Amino acid sequence: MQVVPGDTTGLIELASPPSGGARGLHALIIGVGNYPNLVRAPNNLLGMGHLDGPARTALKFAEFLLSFDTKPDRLAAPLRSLRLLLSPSPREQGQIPIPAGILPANWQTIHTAAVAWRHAATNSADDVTLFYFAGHGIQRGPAEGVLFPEDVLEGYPDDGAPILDRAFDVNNLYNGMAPKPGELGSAPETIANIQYFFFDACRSPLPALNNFFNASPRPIFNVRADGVDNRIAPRFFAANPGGLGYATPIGTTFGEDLLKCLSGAGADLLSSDGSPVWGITIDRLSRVMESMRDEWNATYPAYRRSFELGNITSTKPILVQFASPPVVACRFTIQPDTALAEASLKLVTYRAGQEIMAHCEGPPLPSACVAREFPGGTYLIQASHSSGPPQFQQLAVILPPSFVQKVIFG
Amino acid sequence: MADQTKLFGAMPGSTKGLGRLAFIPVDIRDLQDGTLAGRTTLGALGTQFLKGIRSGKFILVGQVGHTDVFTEISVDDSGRLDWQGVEKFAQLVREAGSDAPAYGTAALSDESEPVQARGAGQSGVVPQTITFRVVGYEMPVLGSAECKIISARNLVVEKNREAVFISVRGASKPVLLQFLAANRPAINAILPTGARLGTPKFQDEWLKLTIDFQEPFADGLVELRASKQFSALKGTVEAISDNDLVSYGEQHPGAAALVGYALLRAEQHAVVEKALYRIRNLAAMEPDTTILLAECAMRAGKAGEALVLFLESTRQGIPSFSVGLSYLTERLRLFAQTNPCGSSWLSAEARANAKSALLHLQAICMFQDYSRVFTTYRGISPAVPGVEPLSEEDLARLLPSSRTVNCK
Repeated sequence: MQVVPGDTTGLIELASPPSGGARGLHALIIGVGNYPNLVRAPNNLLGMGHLDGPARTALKFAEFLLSFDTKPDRLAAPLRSLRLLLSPSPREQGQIPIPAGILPANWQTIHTAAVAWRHAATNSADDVTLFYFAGHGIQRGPAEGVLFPEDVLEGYPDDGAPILDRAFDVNNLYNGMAPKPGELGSAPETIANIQYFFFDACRSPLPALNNFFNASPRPIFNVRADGVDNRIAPRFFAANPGGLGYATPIGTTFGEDLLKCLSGAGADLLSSDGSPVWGITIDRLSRVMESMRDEWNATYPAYRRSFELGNITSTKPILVQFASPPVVACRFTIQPDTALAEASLKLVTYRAGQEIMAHCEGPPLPSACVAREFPGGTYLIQASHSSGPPQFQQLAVILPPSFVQKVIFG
Repeated sequence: MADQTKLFGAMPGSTKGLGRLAFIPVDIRDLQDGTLAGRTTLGALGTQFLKGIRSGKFILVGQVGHTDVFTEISVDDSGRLDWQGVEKFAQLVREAGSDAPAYGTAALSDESEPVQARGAGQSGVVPQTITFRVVGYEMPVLGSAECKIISARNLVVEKNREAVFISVRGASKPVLLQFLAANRPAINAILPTGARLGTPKFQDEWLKLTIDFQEPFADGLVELRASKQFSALKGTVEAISDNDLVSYGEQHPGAAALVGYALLRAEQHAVVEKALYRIRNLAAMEPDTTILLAECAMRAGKAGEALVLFLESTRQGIPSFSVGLSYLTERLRLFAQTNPCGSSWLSAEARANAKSALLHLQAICMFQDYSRVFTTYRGISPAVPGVEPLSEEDLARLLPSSRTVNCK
């Protein structure tokens, strides 16, 4: 990964950007783990500090987007611009392969990158944008998220700087990406109509804000109140209002789930012009993210995660389209286990109307829980006793991330 | 058109009694290639009709816990579902629901430990029964120090095995309930028309409140929202027409406002707008209905009309639902930051009013419990949010107007 020489907006070099006015995807990726002003007194009393994980996950996200140059899978639109700002935590510095020349994610660089990102998105209404932020966040009201860049609380409290002067507002960013109405009868501004926003941060209140009158972050965009906002622009949040986000040394929990989904775990079998395609829609992505959250909460009840999807409009756009079916972890539980010795399991699939044996196993079956991986798709699952006719038969659609089927004999 | 009694909880045939299973998302997939043809919920299948599905053979796919349930089904030329298939699918869902497997192992390696919380955590407390007092107020106007107390005789306390419920007899508009105990912060909660607020008999916090509409559809939506099942929430409300919402609003006004917000969230604002202009008992849902109309206007680019409505809502009281408070706060902040010089629809006076209302709302937001669907915030006076605990003197002052609730 290489930074565009001389660029001040976080722009990353693309191997094969789309030509001319062709539609494209414009991404702005920000990962902040270094918070020098949160760890020094008296701000350390706020209960926040450096974060391991956000910069690592943001870097992975950028690498994921760039990887589409070399694989047959497709993004919603070819990657046309990628801006990446990273501030790794002190512990991560030296551990993460940060590309030379990457700009830190402070208020000014985020502002500059966001303005450039917005400008790039005005190329065409057919363009697509993607925003991902990982780092600290707080909540001012039920729907008013605030995100913290590296230099948050710079000059506070010693130099009298306003507490949220170096922070930015989720709503300002979101509403600022809406098309601006035309002046004096002219047409409204053209801007990417499909916009994905991922906010990978906490949304818990900061009690210290209660001491201030109308504490507000400095706006990044000028927002117009009088435009018609017809974007398809879902907002995915790592936490619900009042909730916490989490990170592990390998990355943020939300971000890692998101990357798993975008890599195939969130794929659905869709119809495009009458042909089946594997792709990720807003709806499927949110469902799989919900199930991953539930699984986490069942495993780590002390670190209860939440998740929120806002501004659900059309669920149809495909964020990632896959050239081949994703591999699905399948589990078949056989009952009763006394049947195992003479039981066999078959999976039959269909291609172009032809029946194809995808898998045949047994007798005997090795255990009461048979775990295998299959490409996603429609299968007829059959279980037989000895060489007799099927005693269990089920038509099933196997979708990622996992599939569980109970097979009952008798 | 679908019969609205079928849409809203009174599901026919074997889909009756599904409880929360009625809200599981159901995929309708092409039988030949498995591609997605549509998505709904099990409860909505009770309508026997599906919007936008061509005739043919399909497979219904539902997920209960981690178990997938499949049933083949056909749709005729009029969009009618093969009813036997729906019955069979509901039965399979029931069986899977009663036998849902535990969640599997999280897909995390050992090296992912330890988990690092990105904020302050919470410590556990042993659950216990508590006694508190409750005071009812007529809906306070935003920014007004006057709060008119409702006679304690009209406060109704009901109990079942697990919980205690409080409601207000004869309330035709949303009211504010205040929950009090000495040395605890007072909790204020807006009670939508027709609903009651509940609290578990045993609890580990002061004070865990829940809402109960005593109406399965709205209670299902609350549960879906609380469990953050957004895709199911969207699938559930998408089948609702403006006629459905009008009928529902006249029967269940408080619940209808919640349904209206769910529709807005699913970008069905045309349905909301059409319905609200026809509902006769709008006052029973104010200020939420005014906020809903304002948000519809905002999304249509009618900023001037939206501003008038948002400001009007602040004169009607505090929104019953936190999502309404969100819309109101976010939009008023936008108006307060807009320069009237460049906007013919925005007068300096209107902007000043927006700023003033915003300050009062912000005070509520700062002391709000975001985790609740209904608006709830701390403050000894409903007009002055804050965290100070209630002194014995203040409690004594409010005693004559309050009713004791013993959770034992």
